[in-house]
Amino acid sequence: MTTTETGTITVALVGNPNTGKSTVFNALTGLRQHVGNWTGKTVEKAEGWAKDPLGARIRIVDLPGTYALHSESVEEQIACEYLLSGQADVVIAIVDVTNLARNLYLVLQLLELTDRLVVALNFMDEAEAKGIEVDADKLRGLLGVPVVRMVAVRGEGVTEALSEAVRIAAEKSRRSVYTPRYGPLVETCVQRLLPLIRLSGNSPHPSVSRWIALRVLEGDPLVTSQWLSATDGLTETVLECQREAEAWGTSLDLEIARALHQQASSLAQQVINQKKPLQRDWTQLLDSVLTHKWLAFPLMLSLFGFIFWLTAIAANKPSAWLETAVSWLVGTARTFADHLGLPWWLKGSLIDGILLGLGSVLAVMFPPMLIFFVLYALLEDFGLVPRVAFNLDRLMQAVGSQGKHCLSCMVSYGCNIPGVLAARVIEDPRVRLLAIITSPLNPCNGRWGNLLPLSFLLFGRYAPLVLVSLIVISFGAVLLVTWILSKTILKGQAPIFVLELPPFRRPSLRKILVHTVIGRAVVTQYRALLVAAPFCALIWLFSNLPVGAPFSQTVTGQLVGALSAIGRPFGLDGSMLTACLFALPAKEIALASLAITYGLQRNLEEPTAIFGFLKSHWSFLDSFTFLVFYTLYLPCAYTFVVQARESGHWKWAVVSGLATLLCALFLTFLVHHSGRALMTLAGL
Amino acid sequence: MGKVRNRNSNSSAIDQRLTEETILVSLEDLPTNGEGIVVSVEAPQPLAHRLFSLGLLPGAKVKKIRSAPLGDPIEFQVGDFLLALRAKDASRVLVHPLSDGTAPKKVDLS
Repeated sequence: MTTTETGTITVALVGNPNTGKSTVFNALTGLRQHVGNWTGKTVEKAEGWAKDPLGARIRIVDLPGTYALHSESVEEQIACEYLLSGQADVVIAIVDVTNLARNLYLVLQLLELTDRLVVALNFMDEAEAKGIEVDADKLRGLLGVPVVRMVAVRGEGVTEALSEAVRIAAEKSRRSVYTPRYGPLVETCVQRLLPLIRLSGNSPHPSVSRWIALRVLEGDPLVTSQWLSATDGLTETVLECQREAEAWGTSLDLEIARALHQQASSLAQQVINQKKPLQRDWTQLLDSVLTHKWLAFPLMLSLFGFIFWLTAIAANKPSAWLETAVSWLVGTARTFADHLGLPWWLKGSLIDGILLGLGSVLAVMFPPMLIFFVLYALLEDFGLVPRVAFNLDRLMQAVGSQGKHCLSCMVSYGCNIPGVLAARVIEDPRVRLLAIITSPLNPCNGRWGNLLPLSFLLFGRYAPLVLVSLIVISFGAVLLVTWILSKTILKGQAPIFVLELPPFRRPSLRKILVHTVIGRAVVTQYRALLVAAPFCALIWLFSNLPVGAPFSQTVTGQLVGALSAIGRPFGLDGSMLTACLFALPAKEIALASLAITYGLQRNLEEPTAIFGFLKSHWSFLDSFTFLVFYTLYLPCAYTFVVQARESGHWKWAVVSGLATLLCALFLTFLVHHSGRALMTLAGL
Repeated sequence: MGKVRNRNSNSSAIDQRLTEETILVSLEDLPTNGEGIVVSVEAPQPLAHRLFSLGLLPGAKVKKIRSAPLGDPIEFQVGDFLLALRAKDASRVLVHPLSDGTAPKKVDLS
């Protein structure tokens, strides 16, 4: 691997999941990060810039967490393809030192691919607390590459790892590094394959041909598909090798994995000195409570209830401040526009449409989203999330999905967009699609921002009950849609479910503040506003054209009339449906939209009159019917865009739109008519 | 891919089962807190590869920790880390149960 033409060094971060890789990335790059898509892939990559001690810029690429250089999941494929492409000059392998043997397995695979490697032993503090001593110098001698001790959350060892990386990137000669050796069976097969691979049209770098031979023998899907067709005689030779292995009562993939694991454990044993016997720590104790047969579900529910409550309470004040700021801004802008003498339609669509609309989205959406994501990131860092997947897997299995689907649902409660992104942790492409499609059924903070005040306004002290039933209905909708899809267009085998339950760890506040606040909340908010802007202008124009017409004559008024016939069988009136339509760019504006569609106001200003109006106008059943529909119907505009991007095709975003709309209509119909039947029975 | 290949790889262990009448059980059937040494993994490729790279392969020591609240999946300790597998997948991993954590338990069937 050579330094790129521009002279900038590229460093790739590789490691198992849960090894603190993103902490290292954040420590190295600070805020000099940018997130883009991998070429040809639908997964985002994180790239950033660091400075070496001499002040030169270094590109840092954060590769997805992986246990091995196989290509069984999208994430693993990306890590694999990137390393093979030779774009990285140096690789830093982040290693969990409390689990050294398993982590060295990946390091050994990396050494087969490159001699430009730095091993960073992370969690040195945890290892010390557990009485594990690691001889880093000895490991350096054994592997032939720099080994650095690290406590990434405290920033210790991070710059050292980078300087080592820069140092070996500059070396001209090839380093003599540890080369993993296999048994005679595998080595013979590799020797038979090597000449074929070297002669093939793909003509790889000599140092990677051995790696390719091993992957082909293993039956790695990606490498095999690239090389079998491109190489004469390869298919036959591989089949012969596999038959030979069978004759010995084994298989090549097993022999390769076994040899590598044996060498990894032997290396680990040579450098580790366990001072006191390993004792079961509080992870075990906490796990026995969190995954307890009877306690698990009540605990999970109350924890999530608590997070929602905290989010709602804490977001109140900042939301009110933002609203004040927005109305001041709008007022100033109006005066300024008058001063400039802008035409009324331009002034209206810019200020009363876009500025006011985006302002109210920001005020309703941003504070709760920020708070929710910080709280969620705390739990995620702590290690709670895999436990939820563990507890709920059986339920998801029954509808043709798996436990990690629930992780996407949990994030979706904050905002559907990161919820869709969170589906990446799912290896199985079919289940990943299921999670992407069902994400909008989980009410996000934008919807909570409307559901909470509406419920308290319309149901008074029964509001908590109403909110809980909405959560139950939405989760039921996720199960229903998942079940139907996995019986129809997304049929497939039961997905693989292999889940690591990492030890509980103290969350790193610095990482959360940088990564969650900037990376997740601000970026999501900014992009959502961009998508919502043109719609806000349209809504204003719809509600004010033709000029000076009474409400029923405006485009909005006519929409209300046209949609009322469609809504009637479902217990929804035209104004409710039009408001839901208006809230598609961002669900936050539902309440303000209701104020428009009931003819109370003509812009998205923070509504006050609507509360009194709805209380006298809607019955309990009307209210609940609307809340159910509003909770479930259609993804918002930006979610739609992200769904298309993440699934790789527009059609899946359309499927999600159709599925959520049909599900919302079906459940609304059910709620409305069973409510009516109950009331007739009760003689109301 | 997807095809189940026989991974009765540790042939000596299999012979041992036949000759010394040691009982092999699946990971699923291990009692809670029971330990075993993996003898074979009979799973389709993506699953087998994932298990192999995590170190769950013939010769590895595995301990059953607990089942999820709804009975499935099951949590195991493999080496120094915790791993959840579905019962269906765990049933494809055969182990020598260890009675006291040292020697394979041998049962006389006669």
